Amino acid sequence: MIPATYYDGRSATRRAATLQVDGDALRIVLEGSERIVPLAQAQISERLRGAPRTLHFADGASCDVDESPELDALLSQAGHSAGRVERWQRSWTITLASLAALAILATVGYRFGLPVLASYAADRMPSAIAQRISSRALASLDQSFLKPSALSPAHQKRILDGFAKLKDPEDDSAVVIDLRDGGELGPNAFTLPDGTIVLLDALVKLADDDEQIYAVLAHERGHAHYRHGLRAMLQTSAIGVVLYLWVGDANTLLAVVPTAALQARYSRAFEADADAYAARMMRANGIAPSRLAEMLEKLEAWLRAKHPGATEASARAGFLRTHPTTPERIEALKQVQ
Amino acid sequence: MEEVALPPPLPPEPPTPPPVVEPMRFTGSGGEYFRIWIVNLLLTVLTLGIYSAWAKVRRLKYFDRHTELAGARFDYHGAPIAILKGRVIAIALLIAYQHAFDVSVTVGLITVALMAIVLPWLIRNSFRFRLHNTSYRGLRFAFKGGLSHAYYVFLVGALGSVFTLYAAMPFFHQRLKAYQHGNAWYGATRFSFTATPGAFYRVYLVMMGLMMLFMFGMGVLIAVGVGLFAHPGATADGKPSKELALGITLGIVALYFALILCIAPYLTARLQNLVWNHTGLGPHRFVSTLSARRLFWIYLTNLLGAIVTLGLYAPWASVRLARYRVESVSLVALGSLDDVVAGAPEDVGATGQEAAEFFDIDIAL
Repeated sequence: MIPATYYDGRSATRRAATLQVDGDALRIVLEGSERIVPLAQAQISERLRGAPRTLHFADGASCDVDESPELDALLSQAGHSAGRVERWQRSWTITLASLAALAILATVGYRFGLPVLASYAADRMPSAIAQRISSRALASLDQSFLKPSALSPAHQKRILDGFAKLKDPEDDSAVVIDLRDGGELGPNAFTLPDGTIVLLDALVKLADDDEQIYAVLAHERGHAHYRHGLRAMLQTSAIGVVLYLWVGDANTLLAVVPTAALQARYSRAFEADADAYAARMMRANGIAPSRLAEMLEKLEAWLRAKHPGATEASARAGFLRTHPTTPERIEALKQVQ
Repeated sequence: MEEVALPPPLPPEPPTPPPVVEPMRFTGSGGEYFRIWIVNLLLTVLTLGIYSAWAKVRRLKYFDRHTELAGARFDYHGAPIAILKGRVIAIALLIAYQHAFDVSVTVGLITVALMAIVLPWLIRNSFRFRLHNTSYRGLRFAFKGGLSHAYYVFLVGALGSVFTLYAAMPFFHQRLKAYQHGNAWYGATRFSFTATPGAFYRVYLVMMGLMMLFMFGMGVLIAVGVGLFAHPGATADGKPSKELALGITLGIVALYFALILCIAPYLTARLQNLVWNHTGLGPHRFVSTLSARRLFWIYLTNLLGAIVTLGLYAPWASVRLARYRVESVSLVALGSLDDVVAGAPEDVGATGQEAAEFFDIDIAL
């Protein structure tokens, strides 16, 4: 005799009932009436702490029953056993093991899975998409930070032709370089997802000679060759989605900062790859890779003059840095020789 | 002489029973939900997302079955397969929407037009699926809002809000809630909704005032900062100190975060109270007493908990929030709930609900 609350599924009326097992049948005894249901037809809800369980019958009627040893006996008589997932959810051992498994999956996915997947996808992305993204990005930069280059046409031609004469043994795709006056952006060069290189006037002026400029352009060719722009985009969005799924419930802002920190590690690897690419390309053209190291030192000195204390802060930022430190990069370039 | 049939005498009015206040209760716990959550997450990852439909059913069942009113529990009955189908369609729509303009402007415009036609229908279906699959005391809820009404609320409402620079948004928000609550049924008993657009305007105006207060604070700090740096003579040693600059910047950032942290609980609390205090079920009505200040405290501590535990606190945070929001609602029952009878059965799919969630349309409350 198990006490229960009976609902007939046709009205909200609650009726006190008792449950009894009679062979293969479940007998529901109500005040003044009685129902007999084949035991096998009754569906039972999963166990929840502090909530009654519900027996559902085929005709829409149901019974709420509090947990009790008698109910467990009734259920085992009906041949019911908890499902696999229900048992896992009840066990702290299995749930903590699940947590560990998730942590391992996340680490492996971050260190190995995502870079491989992003690189695979970037190689197969239609070039039209990369071009559209790039031309949109450049158009919006042209409206905000960039102005047409102030260098004389002859000066521009000398740089572009000079670099075009160099051999690129690993990549025979067309070299596209856009010169711009970057104003506040300072001496810089960057590569768009379709491989277009944007070279800023201030970097040309900072360089002692054209070979130092070629060194930077060779580094950017490395980014273009490895499709670093597209890969970074894909990786950032994947990390963003995963973090949103993990903590987005609590607060969307919470997903932003870790995304930047996690992307920084990939970015440092990209810079190192592009440096190595530049060193190989320069050697193939009889230019010393140390020319890139010289340029990096000049950039670092410029940065230090403009923002005193900035290098110290960037060293402290550690995991947030998107580039390896300049001494690390110069050391790596020496290794190539 | 013809006999005139007299109407039968009216039965005497039954004495109105005194209203009984039935507070809602939430009996879930963070520890129990954590275990459901983590197993859901692992299975979802291992099945590349397919299990997410089953996970969703488990999550909703957990929260519904732990919600108690007048000694009985709610329950959720959505079929995972229906939800999975809905998700597949929703993802396809989302991809089409994001990439249509990459193909060409014409394709993009056609896609946007199609979305405008399809989305109101999807959202209406989402209301139907959610309510149809929720039960209480063995009876299902239902949503019977019409399709043309959905186009008015979602299409005219969205366009009307944008073209009036959101001045009409509180009005259309009221129309949306009236559509959602006024067409909801429990068995054969209909819900009613009586909040006026004016009440929605009051909530939104106070929110605007709150935002302006923060903006003013940020403006003052920015002006002070700019002033100090533009006129170095303003400070004792002739140049502003680094600490001062840092302090001003941090002040602006802190105000910005405070603004974001304050707006959400304010709106959630005021709107939940407004909506539920004006929702009735037959002769019964609801009372909601959510406090914006308590809610702000819960949001803030949930956020800090999530940061400190690298996100592991999330299930406890969800349970805390659900408990507070559920337990601030009571049903003021006028007579017995027993009298409600079942409505006609119907068959509804899950596509709408999933699509609405993927397009980030908040249909909660």
